[in-house]
Amino acid sequence: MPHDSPNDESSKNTELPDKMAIKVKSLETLLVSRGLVDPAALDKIIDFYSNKVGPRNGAYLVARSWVEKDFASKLLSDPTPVLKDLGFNGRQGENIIVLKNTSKIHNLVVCTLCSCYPWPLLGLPPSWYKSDEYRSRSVIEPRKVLQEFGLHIPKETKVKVWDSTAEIRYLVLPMRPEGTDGMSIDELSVLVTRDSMIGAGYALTPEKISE
Amino acid sequence: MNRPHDLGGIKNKRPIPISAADDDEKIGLIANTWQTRTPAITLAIGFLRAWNLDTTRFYRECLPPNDYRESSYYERWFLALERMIKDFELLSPHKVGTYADKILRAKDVFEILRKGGPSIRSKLERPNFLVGDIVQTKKNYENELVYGGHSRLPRYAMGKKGKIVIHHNAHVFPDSNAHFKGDAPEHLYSIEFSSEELWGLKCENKNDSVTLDLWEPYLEKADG
Repeated sequence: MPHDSPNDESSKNTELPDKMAIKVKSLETLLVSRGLVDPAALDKIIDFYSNKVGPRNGAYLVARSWVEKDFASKLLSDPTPVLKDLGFNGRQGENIIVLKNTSKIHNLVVCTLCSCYPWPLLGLPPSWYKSDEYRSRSVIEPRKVLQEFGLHIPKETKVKVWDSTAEIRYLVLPMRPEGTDGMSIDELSVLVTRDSMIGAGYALTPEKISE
Repeated sequence: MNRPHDLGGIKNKRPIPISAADDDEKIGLIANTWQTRTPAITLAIGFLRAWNLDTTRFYRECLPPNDYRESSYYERWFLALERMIKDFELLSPHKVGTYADKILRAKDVFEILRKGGPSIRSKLERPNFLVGDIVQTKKNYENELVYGGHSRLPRYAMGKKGKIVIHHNAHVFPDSNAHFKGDAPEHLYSIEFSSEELWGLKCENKNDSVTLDLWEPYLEKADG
């Protein structure tokens, strides 16, 4: 029986993850016993992607771009030196391009062939990004997909989908929300959601945060 | 040729599985479960350099289509990893010691992940196309170096006309690298295709577009 949603790990029946847990554990044990994998290195990798990188990096870039025009133009024209200075480069973020959303253009990022994603800026991808549904539908019906995220894109606004088929990784710079004049970079970065940096959301308004 | 992973534009009526579990924004490797252990093992063992990133993608794509469809994302990673370990004989007695000096150690993890591995390369040949050129992707493209090999031109974008919007210089060519035939750098371009060109009458809005990153061997001069 195919699962209802085969690649949403959370929606699977409870039996399967246990089976998988045993299989993965056995493989790890075998690799460790042969000296091919250092278990402490695995813990470090998990620590790195849990605590050292994640969407807060991307949110900082977005918030600072809203405040500092010069920073924004550097980030949009040649992000690599900027990211290096901040220590935001790294695996799966070697070639970053930043896409600016405006009232005229709405950018949305996908990887239809696997699930390429700018790890150093956003962490590892959420399960919806890796789902067959998103990978199939976002290129052919992005407006319907965006509606499911609560975004209604006006007809006049151009939707530009970016399919990450090579090693170039994309970060969306969402529009600055209303009612945020005078806010600091730290205050603004709280408004920047992970989904907004994929193009599947808007940055939050301060009212939304205080709800 | 089966391409179970080549999902762009494939009919799928199910809603996007937007899960509440994703809301905490610390998705990915948050807990020590098999779903976090699998990518960690895959990454760690990748540093032995028995294969490369393009090989791992190729192995996931080569899973039997039914296994691919019915597996969750990290199950696919696991199944591919098992196969690679077998095919590259990582556990075979005559490979003992081969990788001793390449084992990823805990103390090096942060540095090595921060460093990454850029795919950009220099190439002496000039690019055949310029930003602004209209080009056409090859129809029914298949890997031209290895029969049935890895390639990164999605089916939905084959035989379509688009406009070059960015030239990224030359990058490692996956069609070669996945099969250990060298970096074989090729010029890489971002190419914008109108939704109408890709989807015809099914397109949602004629102003919309999809941009893909494609290597020069996937392209030819646009006819007419």
